[in-house]
Amino acid sequence: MTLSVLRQSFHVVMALVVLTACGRAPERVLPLAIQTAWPMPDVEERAPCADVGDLRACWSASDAAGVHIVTRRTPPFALSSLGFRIIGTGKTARAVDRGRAAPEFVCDGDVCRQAHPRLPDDGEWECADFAAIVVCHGGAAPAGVPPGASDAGYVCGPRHSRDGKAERVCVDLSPDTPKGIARGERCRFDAENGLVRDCRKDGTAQSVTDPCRTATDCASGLVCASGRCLPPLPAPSCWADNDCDKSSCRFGSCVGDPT
Amino acid sequence: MTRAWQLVVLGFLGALHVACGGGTAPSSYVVIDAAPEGALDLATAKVDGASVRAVTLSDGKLVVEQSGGEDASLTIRVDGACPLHVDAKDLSPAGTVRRHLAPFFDFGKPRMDVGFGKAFELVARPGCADAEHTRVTWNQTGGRALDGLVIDHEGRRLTATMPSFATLVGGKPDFGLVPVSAGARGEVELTATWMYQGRTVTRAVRASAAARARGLPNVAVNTRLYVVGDELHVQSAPDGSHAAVQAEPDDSHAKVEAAPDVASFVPDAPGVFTLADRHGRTLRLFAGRYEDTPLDCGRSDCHAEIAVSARSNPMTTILQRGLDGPFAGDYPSCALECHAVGEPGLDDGGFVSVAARFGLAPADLRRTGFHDLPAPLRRLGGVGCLACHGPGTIAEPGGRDALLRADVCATCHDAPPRYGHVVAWKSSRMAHSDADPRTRDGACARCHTTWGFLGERARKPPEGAAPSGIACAACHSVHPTKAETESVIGATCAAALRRETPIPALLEGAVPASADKSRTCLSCHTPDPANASPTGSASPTGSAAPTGSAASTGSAASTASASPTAGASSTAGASSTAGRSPAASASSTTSASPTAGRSPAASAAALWAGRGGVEPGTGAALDGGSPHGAVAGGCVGCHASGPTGLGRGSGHGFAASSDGCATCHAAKSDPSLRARALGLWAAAFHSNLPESATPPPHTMPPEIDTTTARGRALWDVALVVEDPAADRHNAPYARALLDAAERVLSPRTRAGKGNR
Repeated sequence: MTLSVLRQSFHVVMALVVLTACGRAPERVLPLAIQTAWPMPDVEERAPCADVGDLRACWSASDAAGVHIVTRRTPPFALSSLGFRIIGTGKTARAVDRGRAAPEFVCDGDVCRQAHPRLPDDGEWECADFAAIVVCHGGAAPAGVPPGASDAGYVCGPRHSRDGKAERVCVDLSPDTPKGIARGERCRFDAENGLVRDCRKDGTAQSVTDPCRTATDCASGLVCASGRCLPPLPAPSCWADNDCDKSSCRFGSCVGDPT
Repeated sequence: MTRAWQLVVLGFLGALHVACGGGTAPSSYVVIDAAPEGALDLATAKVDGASVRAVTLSDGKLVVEQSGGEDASLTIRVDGACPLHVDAKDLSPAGTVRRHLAPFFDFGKPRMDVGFGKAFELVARPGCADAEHTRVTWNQTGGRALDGLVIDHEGRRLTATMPSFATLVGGKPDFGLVPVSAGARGEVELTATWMYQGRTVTRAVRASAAARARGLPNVAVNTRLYVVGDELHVQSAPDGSHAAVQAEPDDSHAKVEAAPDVASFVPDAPGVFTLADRHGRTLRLFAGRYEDTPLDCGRSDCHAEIAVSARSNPMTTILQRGLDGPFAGDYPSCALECHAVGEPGLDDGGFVSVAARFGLAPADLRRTGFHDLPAPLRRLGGVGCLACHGPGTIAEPGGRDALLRADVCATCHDAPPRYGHVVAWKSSRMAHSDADPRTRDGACARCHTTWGFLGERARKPPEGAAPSGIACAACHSVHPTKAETESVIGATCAAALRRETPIPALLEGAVPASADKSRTCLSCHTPDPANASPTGSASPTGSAAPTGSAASTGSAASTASASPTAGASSTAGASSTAGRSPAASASSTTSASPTAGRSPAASAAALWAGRGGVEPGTGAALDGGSPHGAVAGGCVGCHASGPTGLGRGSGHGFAASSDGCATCHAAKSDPSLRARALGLWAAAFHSNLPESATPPPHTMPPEIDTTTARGRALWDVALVVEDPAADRHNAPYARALLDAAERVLSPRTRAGKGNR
């Protein structure tokens, strides 16, 4: 009996000690922090790396295929249905909500539509989806608009155009998708009544990051590494084969030798 | 023993750490957003909860990080919103729960298109149970007093009637689109106030009779337009439109909505609509969404130079400077309708409608900064091309003249009492410069019309168009050259957009830098010896355009050749004195008849500068001093008055104020000088008209032959007659001109002989 009372007393005292020691009132108000990017410094050990689809890839000459997959870490919550994108590499890597730069998709049945799809910047662009990689060309500065920042998701370079056009070519290896996963979606840009991007569920669509055993399992221009179809390190310079001297244009880069 | 106690203490602290939630238990998250229309500022959030670890605001969303446990419930309070309670049972470890914050009262979108003379209601829809029993009080905090104002349901419903079309807009064209300025749309601001949990909360709600309209054929979809015609109907519409296309005007399914005062029409799809009336007159409208309109105007074969300069134009950068700079208060919500493209509250693809698609409320924009805005919003932020030219495709040439009317600028700058630029301008003589139809063509158009001043014949209005005066675009260059823009970056918009106009040759060396603000005035208020007469060969479409603006529009005309000084400055080898005399100019201008075009026009600037006169006997220049040359600002140093009660822009009335005269002058004017000049003029031309009926010399034949001493004397008289305020601009010089003229004219005028 005495022991029981002592035990009960001990529990009560301990509970009181814990509550007092924690210093918590039942209600409290925390200061509010403003944050638009979440540092992800340990995402990878070396550069260059980039989001590819919903994966994270790093390119290295020491890799047999030139590229391998690393662990992709993002904040444990989601601000929008588009998910996070990691921008920067190495110690500067940080996650930003994709919804900052592009609105969420609105779905109707199997088709989801994104108004104002992500573009390289605020200029004039023509874009297309190739195996869940977006390639854009153009980039003329918009008239009557102050110079603005570029979208960190795109890698850009001057176009090697034979007609002398001063254009740029930009590549997004991880374009927005309705659920944040490119596989099983076929997306296309439509500029007929304002620029939109439509994605339709399609199990037959070839996508970057598809599982693979060899490169023949992948869309032309992709390599098979870490069991996934991945692109070589992009060096954007072409929109069409004509832009490449003795090679082909794949995903905005001149690759291989057609002969 | 000591070591054992240490272990016990460490163990206890470890248990305490875990109990306090400092262990490795995964967090759960609550992500909260709010509809932009609610105008809630999530930065005012207060989150109460025992297990809250962190609260973060990110791009219009709140992220609350929670440790798990039974005490994980939390409550979020935001100013103007219903409290949001999240129960612990809804949370899961490492999971995210989404919640939407409801405004305490939802007032809906701004009512920007109520209709002229139409009743409207504002309903405060409760967002939660507490709001259902909360009383709302209303105050009208802006705009014209509303008719029929009724407030009921404990203040949760307000009804009122907008003023009529006649009250707000007044006149309308015989046919076509009715421009609606910022002031004429009848915007009102009503502020709702309520108490909740001991705090006073206010919300401003806006309503307008109509959306603003530039009067241009390029129009935004889903925006009601007011149109004038006799039984107007839709003749053709683009694919996707639900407009009823009528074969006959009496079709009962007219999409053009008739009304007693003015009809209206809403283009509901992008493309070309043709409206027609029963007289066969047609009105073609080019409808589009702002967000879908390409901004490729700067292509190398189009407007490349303008596009380059526009990137740093103060109009273009206004939102950027506002968001990134020191603009305070509730910016940008107070200014989005004029610092960005589109009409807030309408689905026109403008800035506000696109911002809503990104879930961004004005408070979020303020925190985001311009360069972190999504690219589609940066394209619409600022007063860029579409803000003045409208969305959609390029209008047909026949529909482009309206661009030079003040109606375009009036969509923002006609919002009295705060912005009174257009109100003041309408009170000025500039606004009525082409009221007489005879001034709208030939040489007169050069200084009586905006298109003539700019040398843009392509923008000449069609016959029968309403007069438009010397409008904003004459003095303000909204497409400044790159050099103009760079020279004034950091200056106010007014300074930055002032048109750079060459100083007329007659005034070279006589205009101090302190008068730079008035350079634009000089070309039309200085007689041009080469191109002065309505009967002369000068044409507004030829080389006489005073501003050289044709160069900026891609025309081949150069600034030099477009200047009114070209005639004088081409007198190679002549002394500057001789070059400025009308006689010298006449003798060297081989293409013009020596007796044609010799009557000076509008001489106020010449009198002010002490220039323009000629010695009748020798033909040498007769110059004088410029006692008012040191007045800061030149012409507008004195001509800066307008209607009272305006916050900004009253100076656009250009009325001269005599307030400053008393510091130097006991008497403010010498009316005898004008009487003397009119007497000489009347005697020379057998005219006996009273002063009020005497037309300016430059409007009336016979012309002055400046190759004769008598003609040159008449020239001097005409200079004084042409300037009704000659005695105030420069009385000594006016007197000297009349003295010189009288020495030649008096014997002959007494003899009753005329010029010839």
